[in-house]
Amino acid sequence: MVVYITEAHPSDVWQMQSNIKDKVVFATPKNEEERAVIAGACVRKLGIKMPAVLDEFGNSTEKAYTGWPDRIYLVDSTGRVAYKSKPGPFGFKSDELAAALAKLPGMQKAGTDPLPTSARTN
Amino acid sequence: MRVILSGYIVAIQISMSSAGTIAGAPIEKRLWLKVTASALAIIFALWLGFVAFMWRIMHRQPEDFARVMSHMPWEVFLVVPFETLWTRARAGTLQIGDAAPDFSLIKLDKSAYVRLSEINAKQPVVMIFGSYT
Repeated sequence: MVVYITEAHPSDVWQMQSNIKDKVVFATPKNEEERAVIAGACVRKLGIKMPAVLDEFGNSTEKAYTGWPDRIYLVDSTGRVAYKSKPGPFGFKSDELAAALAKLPGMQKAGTDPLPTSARTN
Repeated sequence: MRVILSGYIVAIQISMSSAGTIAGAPIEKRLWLKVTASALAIIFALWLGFVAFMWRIMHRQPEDFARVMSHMPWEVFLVVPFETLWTRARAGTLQIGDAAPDFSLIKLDKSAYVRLSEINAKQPVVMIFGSYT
C-alpha cells in the first residue's frame, strides 16, 4: 500500500524545476484535507491501483519508519521488517523489492514473479 | 695585465651570479610549497566544515532540511558525498527483523481506517512511503 506522507518538494519551500515541467506544483498542505486533495491527485494522475492511506498530520507514521522523502518497506506475514530500502531518491529500487519478495516463504516457486513488470520503476 | 685582470674579474662575476641563482631557486621553491600546502589545508578545513554542516541539517525535520536545501546551489551535490551522508542520516532506527510499528491510518477515499496488523495477519505487506511532489 502507499502511505502518503509530507510533501518532498512543496512549491513554497523547495520547488524543483522538474516538478514545474511536469505541472506538479503544490504548496505545503495546511491540514489533512489539503494533504488528501494532493494525495488524490497523485493517485489519479499516476494511475496508482494499490490501496493508499494518508499519514496523520503529525507525521507519526513517517517518523516511525523514516519514510521521507520516499522509501519502500516489506513486512512479512509475521509482522517483521523483511526489507527496508535506502532512503529516497537514491534508494528507491523496485528490483531490490522484487528480490526481497522472492525470498519470502511461499514466494519461492519456480517461475513466480513477485513484482509484475508494470510495477517496476527501474 | 689589464686583459688578464679583466678576465679574472669577469670570471668572478659570472661565478657569483650563478651561485646566487642556484641558492635562490630552492628558497623560492620551498616558499611556494609552503604557500600551496597552507592554501590546501585551509580549503580542506573549509570543506570539512561544510560537510559537517550538511550532516547536521540532514538530521533535521524534513521541512527544515528542505528550507535549507532550497537555498543551496546544485553544485553542493558535487562537492560533498551527498548520497553517503544522506543514507546514513536517514537510516532510522528500524532494522531488518524488527517488529514493524503498527499504525491505523485513514484510506484516501475516507471510507475506512486501515490497521497494518490486521492486513498483515493474512499476508506480507509492501509499504511505499512518498508524496506527489
